[in-house]
Amino acid sequence: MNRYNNAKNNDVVISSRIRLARNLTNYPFSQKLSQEEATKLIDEVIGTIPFLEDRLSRNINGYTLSSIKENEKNAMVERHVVSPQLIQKKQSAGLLLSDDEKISIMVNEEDHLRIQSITNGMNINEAFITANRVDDILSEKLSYAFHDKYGYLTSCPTNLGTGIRASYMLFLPALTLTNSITKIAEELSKYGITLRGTYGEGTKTIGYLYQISNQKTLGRTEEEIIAGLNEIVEQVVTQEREQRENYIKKNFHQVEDRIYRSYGVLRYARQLTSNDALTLLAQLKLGVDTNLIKLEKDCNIYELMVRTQPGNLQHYANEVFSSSQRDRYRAEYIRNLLPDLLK
Amino acid sequence: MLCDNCHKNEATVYYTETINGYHTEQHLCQECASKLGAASFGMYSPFKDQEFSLGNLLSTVLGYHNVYAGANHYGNEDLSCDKCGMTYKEFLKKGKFGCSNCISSFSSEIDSSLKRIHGSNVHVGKKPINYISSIDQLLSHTGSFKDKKDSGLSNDNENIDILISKLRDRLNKAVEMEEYEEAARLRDQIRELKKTKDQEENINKEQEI
Repeated sequence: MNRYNNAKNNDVVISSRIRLARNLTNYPFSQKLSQEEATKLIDEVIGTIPFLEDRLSRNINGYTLSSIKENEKNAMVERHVVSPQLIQKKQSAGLLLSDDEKISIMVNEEDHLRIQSITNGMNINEAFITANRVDDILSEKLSYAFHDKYGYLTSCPTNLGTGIRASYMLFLPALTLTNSITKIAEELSKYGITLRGTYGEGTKTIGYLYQISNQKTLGRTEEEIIAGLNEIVEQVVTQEREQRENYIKKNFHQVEDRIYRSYGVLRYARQLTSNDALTLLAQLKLGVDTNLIKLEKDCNIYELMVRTQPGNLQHYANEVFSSSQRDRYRAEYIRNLLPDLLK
Repeated sequence: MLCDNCHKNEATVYYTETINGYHTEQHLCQECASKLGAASFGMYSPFKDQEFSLGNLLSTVLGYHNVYAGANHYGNEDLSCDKCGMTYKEFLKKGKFGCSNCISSFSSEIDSSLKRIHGSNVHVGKKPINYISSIDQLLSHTGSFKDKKDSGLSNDNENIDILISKLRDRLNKAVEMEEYEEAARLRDQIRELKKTKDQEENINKEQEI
């Protein structure tokens, strides 16, 4: 359970991610790609694996998406290894994935290649170095579509240039509880930064989890784009911390009660839906991060949030459940992993 | 009129936006208007799927400059890409390019829209390893003649002259369009070419001596 542990700014920044969009000159882009060409594209990219493995000195596995089980695909989306768009794609698509899942290359998503690297906590530079390296290695084997003036050519004009999307996953309970998110998001959009909820639909987010990322990709270097995002994220982190302190000071008994209640339900409930689990675990995470509640052992609560999503729950159980079976199993799973309270 | 979004229902909501004097219009049915909701109506919402709302607005954004240029709403709809056959109209509708050549085919129409989307229309980030730009290609081509004493060096300098004058034209255009980043890039390329040309001439002179 230490995939996401002990990284910088861990109480607010959960993970950092870099995604590079690339296309090849020798195939039409996704819009005009035939099924036959899609298969050829996937074969060509999967063919670079030995070269990639050699240069990166790590294991890379190649898959055609149709060979991956439905459950497994959903679990990968929940872990942010692949995008929902990739698994919904009607045409053939492919995936190259490192053993630790920190490097993934989606083939034939919206672009021919989406190179992605994830790290824990606030550590986007490491993610960039990795993604950049994979990009360099692939560019030796594949013929990239690049334009003197417009840079890397992408399917969508909004990704042109660097093709980079730098993003952080943030845990923002205090900014959510004080209804500041919409205002902040509005403010950030002026700087070309997007902030949106990770789980939940419409205006209701669940689990206080958000994604913050750059929107503009052309006219600035990769490093400048990342530095710009970092500056903003540092400010959001500071604001979240300040608000946490204020909010808890003002509503101490209410917050404390809610956190202990959440722990109680997680500890003893016999059925939990995934939304229940997300909501309660988010309360517990807030409590642990602010020392309002102390657990006997370290427990990565974010990882528990991901593991109790429907796809991953079944992935780890290695079984396919009906939804009521799932809710029972989820409650049991959490019970088993949840540490006792520190006495 | 049918809804610009779903193309099924009658459009009853007319949404006009004026930014710096550029007008855009969207005609939506009640259903789509509420579905797109805050995102399309200026009230930014972080909870909408980003790709979705962007895709919907993109064609309007891409159509912008033609509106103020006084041309018909979506500019030159007859343009098409000679490599993949995607028409400009199709591109506006989907907001996606069809191949690596589309951008060159449509650049006259979308160049200024890119500036509106990104705040710039010139890439300054990394390049693929071993990437050779068309200018570099010519530079290395002329450079290779340095080793071949028997070939016509003067011819090469003529080539460079032609290239320089072509680049100058592009530079002037860029300045006219107030695209200063592109202008700076072209200026640097011209400088580099001149340097190469001078070197070639020096070699020639040395050989004559």
